[in-house]
Amino acid sequence: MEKIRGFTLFESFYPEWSFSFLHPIEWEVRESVKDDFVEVFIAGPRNRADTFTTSIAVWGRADEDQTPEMLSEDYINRHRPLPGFQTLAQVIGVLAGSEAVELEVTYEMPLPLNNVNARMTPIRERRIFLKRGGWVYELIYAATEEDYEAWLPAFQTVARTFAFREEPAEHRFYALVTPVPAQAIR
Amino acid sequence: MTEHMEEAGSREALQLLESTGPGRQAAKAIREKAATVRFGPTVKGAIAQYDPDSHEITVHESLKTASPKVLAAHLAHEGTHVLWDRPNSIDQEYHAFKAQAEVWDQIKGEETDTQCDWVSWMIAQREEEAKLLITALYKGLPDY
Repeated sequence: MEKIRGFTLFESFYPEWSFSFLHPIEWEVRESVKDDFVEVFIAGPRNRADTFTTSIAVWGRADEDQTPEMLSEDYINRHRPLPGFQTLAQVIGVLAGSEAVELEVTYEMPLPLNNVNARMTPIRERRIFLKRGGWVYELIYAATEEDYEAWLPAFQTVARTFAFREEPAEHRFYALVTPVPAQAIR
Repeated sequence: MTEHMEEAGSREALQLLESTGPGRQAAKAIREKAATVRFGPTVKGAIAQYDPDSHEITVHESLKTASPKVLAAHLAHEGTHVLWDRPNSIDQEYHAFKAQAEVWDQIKGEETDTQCDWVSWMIAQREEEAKLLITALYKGLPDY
């Protein structure tokens, strides 16, 4: 695994979840496993209004049937009712040697939630769905619109260095979403 | 200046909560453990809050004119904290939002409410999806 200043290596504590990646060294990491589901949640900075934490998460779960395309379509369909929802990009590619779909969306959320001062706040999410054997994985980046670009490189580093144990280097990463997301919509 | 909710004519909200399947437990906990349900100022403008030390639920004073359905949904949320009666966690917040959503979905009819509708959408997702959002909202809360 390469070394990048300001980033540190995450390796799952559980042998059955044999992935690793680099994440920002100062972000708080917690890993939890429940039944056939693992989550690595990496908390970054709060937004200026102190209402939302920029975060990166990696999920893995047993799922024989779903493909990355099906998962991304399901995600879009579930989020479509949200105010301001838009699909900004949806691109097929390869990540860590596995078929993958990368999605970028935006929607609005009342922040703070359950608060009399709540304001509809644009949230932007980038999510990569990938399949490996009977397991599906999701790499998730979420931030308020105002913070999204600032921390996107951290997520790109997570994605670029995401690998399964003993993965050949040539299987590591191919860029998925184009620099201009709107052009990537199929 | 706070005002006792039931004196303000909003006992209908608690009765409404009691009449719903998903809200019955929360209503029972409020009745049994919470000495008061009041309108008043809340910390940082929260719509409602529960103080476990005084066993008091405060509903923000701006909701005095809110519909009993909206109040009932928020009482379901706070009543879940009363019911759990332990330090807060992401899991506890998830269950509080879940109670709010289930009560709201059952009683809302044609009524809409930005916050309750959003909570309802969030809870309709997979548990891990909802908890991911809840974790982004609250800083420093343990998972359990």
